[in-house]
Amino acid sequence: MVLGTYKEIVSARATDKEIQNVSQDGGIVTGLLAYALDEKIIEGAVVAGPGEEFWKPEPMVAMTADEIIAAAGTKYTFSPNVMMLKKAVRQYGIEKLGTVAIPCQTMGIRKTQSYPFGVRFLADKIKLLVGIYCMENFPFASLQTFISEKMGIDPTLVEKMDIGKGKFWVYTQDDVFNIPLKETHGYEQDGCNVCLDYTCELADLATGSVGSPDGWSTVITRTEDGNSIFQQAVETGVFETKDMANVKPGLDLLEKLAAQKKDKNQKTIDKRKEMGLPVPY
Amino acid sequence: MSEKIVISPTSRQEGHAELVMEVDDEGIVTKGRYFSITPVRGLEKIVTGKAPETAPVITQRICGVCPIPHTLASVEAMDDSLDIEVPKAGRQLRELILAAHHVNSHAIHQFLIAADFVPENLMAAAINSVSEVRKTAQYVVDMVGGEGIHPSEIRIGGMADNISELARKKLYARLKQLKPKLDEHVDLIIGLVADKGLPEGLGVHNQPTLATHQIYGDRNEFDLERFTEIMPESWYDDPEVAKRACSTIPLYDGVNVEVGPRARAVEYKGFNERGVVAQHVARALEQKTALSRAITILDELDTSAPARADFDITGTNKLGVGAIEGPRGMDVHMAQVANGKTQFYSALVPTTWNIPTMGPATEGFHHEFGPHVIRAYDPCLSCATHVMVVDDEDRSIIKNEMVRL
Amino acid sequence: MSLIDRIKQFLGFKAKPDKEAKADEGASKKEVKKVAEEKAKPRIGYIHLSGCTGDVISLSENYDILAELLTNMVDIVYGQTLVDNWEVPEMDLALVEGSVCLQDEHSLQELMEVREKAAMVCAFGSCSATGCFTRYSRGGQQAQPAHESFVPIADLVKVDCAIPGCPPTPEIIAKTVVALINGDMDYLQPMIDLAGYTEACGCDLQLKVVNQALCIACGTCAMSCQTRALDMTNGRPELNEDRCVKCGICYVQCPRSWWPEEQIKKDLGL
Ligand SMILES: Cc1cc2nc3c(=O)[nH]c(=O)nc-3n(C[C@H](O)[C@H](O)[C@H](O)COP(=O)(O)OP(=O)(O)OC[C@H]3O[C@@H](n4cnc5c(N)ncnc54)[C@H](O)[C@@H]3O)c2cc1C
Ligand code: SF4
Ligand code: SF4
Ligand code: SF4
Ligand code: SF4
Repeated sequence: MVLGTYKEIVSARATDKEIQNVSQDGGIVTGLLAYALDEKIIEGAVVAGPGEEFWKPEPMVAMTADEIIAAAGTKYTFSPNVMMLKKAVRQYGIEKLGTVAIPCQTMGIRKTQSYPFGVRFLADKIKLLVGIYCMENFPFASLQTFISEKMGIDPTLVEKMDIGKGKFWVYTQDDVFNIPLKETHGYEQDGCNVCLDYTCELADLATGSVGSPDGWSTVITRTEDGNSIFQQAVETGVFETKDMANVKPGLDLLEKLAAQKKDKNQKTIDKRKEMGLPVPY
Repeated sequence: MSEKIVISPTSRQEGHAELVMEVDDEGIVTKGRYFSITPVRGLEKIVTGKAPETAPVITQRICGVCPIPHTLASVEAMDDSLDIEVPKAGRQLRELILAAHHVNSHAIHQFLIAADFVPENLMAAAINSVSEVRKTAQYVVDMVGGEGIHPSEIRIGGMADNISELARKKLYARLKQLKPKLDEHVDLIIGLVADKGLPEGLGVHNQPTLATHQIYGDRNEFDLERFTEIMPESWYDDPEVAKRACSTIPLYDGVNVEVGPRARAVEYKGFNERGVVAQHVARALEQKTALSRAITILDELDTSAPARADFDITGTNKLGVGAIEGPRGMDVHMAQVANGKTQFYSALVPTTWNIPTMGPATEGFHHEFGPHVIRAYDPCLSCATHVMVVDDEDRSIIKNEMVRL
Repeated sequence: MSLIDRIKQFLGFKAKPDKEAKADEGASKKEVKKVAEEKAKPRIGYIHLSGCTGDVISLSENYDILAELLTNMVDIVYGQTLVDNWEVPEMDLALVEGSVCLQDEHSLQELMEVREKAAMVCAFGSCSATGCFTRYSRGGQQAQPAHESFVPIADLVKVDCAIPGCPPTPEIIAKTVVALINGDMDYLQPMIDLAGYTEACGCDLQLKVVNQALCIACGTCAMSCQTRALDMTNGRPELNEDRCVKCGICYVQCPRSWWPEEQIKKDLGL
């Protein structure tokens, strides 16, 4: 199963206009975390908040919907969200915690839950793990190279970055720039090249843009809890949904990209093994 | 004819120690010597030469039963050496974590002595009562200290972070809820100890008590001038014991003392009972005092205030003292910092103070009661080794007597 | 006999190897059942070397199941902090806390004796598994200035499994004991593998993850570190050596050190 185990896949977006405006795609992450906070399913969430430097995110504990909204939007560089989880349940006193995580961060969290050697009283407090798809991630200096060097833009003017349709996009207040993705190759962190998970297969539910039209997201519900929280949110009207069969480009593209990532990176893994380098699997 | 009875190690306590009792024909103890045979991991020497912040991390690992006092005594010694003024919220959080730890740690001791006082059919209920008290108290330590057993957030200069308002409210509510439960628990323990019918006067000695504060500890009440430390060689009159003893002998005004809950009650609450029963009673009552204090602090705490001071770690080689009232008694750490490195470090842990007092306290009663006297001090001597209980004359094992107690 | 079979046999799940069972089915089935009943409660011993007792305190923090654990699920047959028993008995599992002091004859002796009497020896906590902070010991302290060398127990005896942590969490201890009772060897496999991880340090992240092109900036290491010796700088672990106790937890929890995929999927119901 190239998309992992799941219960349902739909195309969806948040109905709230404010969330639509600030979100990367369909506002699934922000919408769902805010909904869960509202419904007291969680008491707070760890998100990739704005950092001191432009576009360099800092993991943060959000305890209000406003704080969750302020963290919306994708930052294509490292935000070690997992590191804040413990603080969230300790000094912040959160006993029902939500978080957003890319696949590798999800792996760190799930391993900690199944084998909590040194991480006490945390496993059972994570009530909602919203996963996002991920093809690769970039060191901050790589982003600077794309934006300042390759596109010639002042990074402080950038309002949004995106990857899609084979290109890396940058939006300023009144312009749109792009470079082909092949120009970004070799700038991703090398650790990504042994990663086999595209659609965040171990999250409670996972979301990303691929498969759905602009402004919409493809949502894959996985665990019982993830599925039921999402369904409740849809019923309450937080999200509107469309059948995957009726949207373009559709599930085929998602499957294709997930399979491509697995194939390509499996080759890297095999090559590493041949060279005698360690791999975790 | 005098006979020597060796209990090694004394069980159901933390760490490893030996109790050597000389007894007469009736089995009455005429001379008691108690000493630690825990290997010395040399923590004082580990931290010397390193950065000041290493000391609390390492010395909290002296003991996993009372890591909080060690951490606090360590950071207080460093604060003192570096002349740091800890902000109010930092001081409050430190006291809060220690108060919660008193409640928890005394409960652990009650768990360890359960076999002495609790009838078989009440055992599960007693363990559950202890667990319930501990769970709530440890919730405070986890949140404020970052880790329940070796707290990471107690730092030189204060605390790594203040807690959130959500955390404060939760802790306040839970501790309030614990109050009636703890009252019941304390009554239960005091009742069980009384029911045991231990002989009148067991464990009574004439040594003075020493404490610096009702709950937290105060370095100004510990007078370094009055303190001396001698080697076991010049304390124990048995050269065999002296050689094997692993801890030094601290004295105050030239004599050995008692520290701990009873000592604090004597110094600050006008308590005048003595002996084994009094120690258990004072310990249980102290859980109530500590809980009330924790609730008061949570009521007063400003969660938006800074919890840690800025400071310069260079140091002037001033001898800093941290005196903390641990559950088992006064814990004194001393540190000197210069050139950004710890130049000297010394820790006088609670049980070290009590060790020379514990042995003689067994005298005058049947040796069967010896371990009772020892356990009343809740001794804590991290580490352990061998296991045997022998009669010194024929090397026969006398463990049955022990199990009966 | 493999370790796995040995444990299973000792815990009474498979009292006799399959081959023998087939030879006389009627009789041996009965016997299997009988042995299973008799041995259903694993006999556990707790041995305290140069440790701080934090590991057993952590065990006792399984508040909701502690009474049940101690009174019905296991037999604690040895353990100076917990029971009055002065002779090392035969046992199924020995939980050994603390490192071994090479200058302390008694510690060495006790460890050897325990190895002989216990079917399975578990390095319980990081001092026992990796040496933890006692790796920094260098003697010179009163009243035993000669005590200076502290090593993980695997340096001296064969260790069957390890539960690192300073201390290991109440949960992992409970999970391990329950897995033992259920004979869930899949769950225990990482503990068996970790018995070989005796030289741990926060710098393992740099050597074994970052240097090997495996780090992906998740931050799990920094979250796991029990002394807060780790921070993240530009997405990579930054070690503060002044706080590191060499417990090994950061590397053990890193998703790029070992990866228990099947177990995780099972736990999540995926
Ligand atoms: C490095 C990276 C690579 C991605 N690659 C793909 C891809 O190949 N295909 C695809 O379909 N989708 C990809 N995505 C996901 C996509 O960009 C959107 O994040 C996703 O669709 C969620 O959109 P949303 O509108 O629901 O979320 P929003 O409501 O905008 O919320 C986004 C959430 O993600 C968090 N976040 C932002 N940046 C990071 C980060 N670096 N690390 C961790 N959390 C972060 C924010 O805190 C916020 O809570 C990627 C995301 C990242 C971070
Ligand atoms: S590709 Fe994999 S390893 Fe790289 S950032 Fe994405 S999820 Fe992490
Ligand atoms: S590993 Fe940690 S908790 Fe365990 S004995 Fe060592 S210092 Fe104590
Ligand atoms: S960095 Fe932290 S977790 Fe890693 S070995 Fe050091 S103390 Fe342990
Ligand atoms: S836990 Fe994550 S951030 Fe830390 S070393 Fe491993 S991969 Fe890197």
